[in-house]
Amino acid sequence: MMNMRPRTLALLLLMIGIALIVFGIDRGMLPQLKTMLKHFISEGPLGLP
Amino acid sequence: MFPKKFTLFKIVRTTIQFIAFIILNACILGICEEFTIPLPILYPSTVPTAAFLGGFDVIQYRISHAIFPFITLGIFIVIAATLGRTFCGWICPFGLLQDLISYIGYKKVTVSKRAHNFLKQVKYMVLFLTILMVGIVGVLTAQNRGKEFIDALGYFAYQPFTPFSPSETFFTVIPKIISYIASNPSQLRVILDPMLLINLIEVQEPILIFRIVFLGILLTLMFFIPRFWCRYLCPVGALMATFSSEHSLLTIKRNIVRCIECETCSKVCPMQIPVLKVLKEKGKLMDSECIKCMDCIFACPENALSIAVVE
Repeated sequence: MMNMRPRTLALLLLMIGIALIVFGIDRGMLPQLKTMLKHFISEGPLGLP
Repeated sequence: MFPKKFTLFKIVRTTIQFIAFIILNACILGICEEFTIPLPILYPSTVPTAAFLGGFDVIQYRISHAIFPFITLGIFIVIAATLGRTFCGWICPFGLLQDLISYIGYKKVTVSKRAHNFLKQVKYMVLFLTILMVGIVGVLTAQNRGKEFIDALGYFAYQPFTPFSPSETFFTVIPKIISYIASNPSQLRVILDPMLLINLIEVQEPILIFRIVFLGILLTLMFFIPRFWCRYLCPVGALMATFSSEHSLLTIKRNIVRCIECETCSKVCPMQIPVLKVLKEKGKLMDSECIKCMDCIFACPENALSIAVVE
């Protein structure tokens, strides 16, 4: 692992990242993000009366 | 002091940061898409005009609700692997705020090497403690146990870092307080009367006072130490540094023939990276602290530095 060339390691990381995104989209998580943003905005900052 | 092209470059970078800030708040222009994506920046998701999510808010919220943040982590890893911490230098609104403060002509303080090496580990501790806390809450939530413990944590259960986030204090809390006072002019007397102010502080949430004091301390430090927050305390930067390590595709290389080893690159680096030393040792600027602001490239009097793809 440590002997890998930096570009190989970066490409490996890139593939892991893409796999995670695809898996998340496949599980229907993308539309949930918009709901989450609306939730955060409506809740407002923590600790503000 | 600096070459003209460096000053021009700073104007260009600041303009891009401002444009990014407008895009992040696209809802103010009435452009709100049906979906959003989390980004690796310290920008609060509680801003009413936000069109994008602050990635770290999502990670905390998801893990504490026992859901693995696949998309957010995926986006973080993809950006870290390709661009490294470029978003810190070019997109993050809190980074923009720090840059604007550092442009004010105060004498900059160079932190001693020993203190710098110690302090830059603090952000990893902030990240670790946050993930540990949301992890515990997530496990308890998944097992449907520890409700009393979660209730006792209050604010800190689902987003333990967010109440400390100076970005949220600056971009959401302070504008809300200002808008509250503006819509209720009678509240202005509170500012003028110390006794009323003390009473107000006593009845308000203590975290609110802490937030404002913490932001004040940070802003003061940023006058003297450029990118103080990014260097030593930002958990988003720590997470991106962990993923990119020294292996992001985008890097900075040195032309050995042109370089006169004047150390200008090291002097202008806002993250206090010994740029020349790293370049001499590794051939490329492979440092997880590098935010790819490119100040070193444009400050170089001999044009010896350039952007490159790692081999």
